[in-house]
Amino acid sequence: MKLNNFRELLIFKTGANLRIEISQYYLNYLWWVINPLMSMMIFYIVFGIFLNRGTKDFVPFLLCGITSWQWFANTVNNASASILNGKGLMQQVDIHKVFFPLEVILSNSFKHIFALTLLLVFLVCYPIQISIHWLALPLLLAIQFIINTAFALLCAAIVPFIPDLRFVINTVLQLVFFASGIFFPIERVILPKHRILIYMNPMAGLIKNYRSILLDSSWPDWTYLLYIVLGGAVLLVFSVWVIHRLNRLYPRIC
Amino acid sequence: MPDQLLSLHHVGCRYKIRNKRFSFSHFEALKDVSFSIFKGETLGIVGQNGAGKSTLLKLISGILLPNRGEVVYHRQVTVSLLSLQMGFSPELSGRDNAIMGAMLLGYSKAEALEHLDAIIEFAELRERIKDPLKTYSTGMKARLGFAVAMKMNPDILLVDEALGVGDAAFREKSTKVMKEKMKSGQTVVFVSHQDHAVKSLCSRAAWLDRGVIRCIGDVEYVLEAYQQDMKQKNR
Repeated sequence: MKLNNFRELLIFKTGANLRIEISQYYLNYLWWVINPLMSMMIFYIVFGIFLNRGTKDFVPFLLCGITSWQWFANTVNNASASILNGKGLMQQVDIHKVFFPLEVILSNSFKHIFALTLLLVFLVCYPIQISIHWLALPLLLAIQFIINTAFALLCAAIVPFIPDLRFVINTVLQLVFFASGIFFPIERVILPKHRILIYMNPMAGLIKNYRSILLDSSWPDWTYLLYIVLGGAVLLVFSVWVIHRLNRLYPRIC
Repeated sequence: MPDQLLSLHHVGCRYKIRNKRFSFSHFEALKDVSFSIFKGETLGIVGQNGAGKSTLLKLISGILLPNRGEVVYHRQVTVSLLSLQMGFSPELSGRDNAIMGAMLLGYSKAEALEHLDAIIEFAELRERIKDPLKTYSTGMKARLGFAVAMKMNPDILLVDEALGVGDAAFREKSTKVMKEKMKSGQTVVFVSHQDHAVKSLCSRAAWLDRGVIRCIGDVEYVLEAYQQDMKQKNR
């Protein structure tokens, strides 16, 4: 299959699947807004009202973290079984297996646009002062996209061989959720000697940088971003390479 | 010397089966298969269920790689496997499925849209084409799959039990189109249980039996041998 056809098919199928997914529900497209809104509400009620310890601007702080985290976690979680779930199709056509996780990544990223828009609307209404530093947002999103894709492809590549890993991935994601500083500031809670370990997790660093630009009117930590972009790119190339090498093996083992 | 498109050299293919936890066994779908496909011919493959016919088609189309031996492409060839539920997702409309099916077989989106009317026309689905595929009958789905595949012109077309689809009228129509394609020089590898289809369509036949080719060559001769063997087994 030519690269151009591959891309067209990927976009067509992702679009079609999004349409189907949503057509099952009475409220239809509204769910793309309601769904992130509801999870934001939960965090607001739990941490903003009941567990509120009087930290200033805690709710925007929290929502910034949770929105980016969910994009990452949903993508990795859904993509991990994607090649396995593509077994019906791959038995019939010689299609490159990277197609299946890419489809999941694209559709999750599309849904993230709605969650992100909600977040920005909330921030403006809160009100948070819009600053010039918001301009760095597209860059951070692009970096997160690379990181999401790298991890999602890696998981998708391995799971068909060891399906049991799906449970492990789920558990690891939960662990990383608590270690990404989503509902606490890492600088104040984690001991300095442990911080370097925490920031080895690119999501922890990314969330911190999202907050810097959106809430604290400051530019992101460029050196840190450079590190994770390089790391993410290396992992991405590696994951694509693995899937490419195993491309013809998947139909036999799935 | 006729024009070779593709050859199989001592090809074997086995599947891994997990019995429980960490114990595995293997199933050898193909043991040792060698033959060539020539340009413009229609090769019929007969054999009982589980003889390895579908695995063979998957190897030729490049979906699977063999464990042993090799598949040699003598030149750049495109190979398509016609199976009747090509990329079909039940929730999507017949129209979207047709577009997706054509794209999966190697068309660009523009080309797929260009052929769309002809596909719908051939499948005789008319206004039902807008409905989700899950509301279709088995015959309608099969007709759509056949119509999509018939619009494709790969160098080698692989057909897996496709001519028995639809009602009598559609069957006649599909056989006719198939024959026209073969006459126009389309190379076809054709798997079937129906002897009469093989007899009327194929220029050469092969009999596959539990992963090995028992005989290959003249259609009459191969079918005769196959039927003799079947009779003996049934006795």
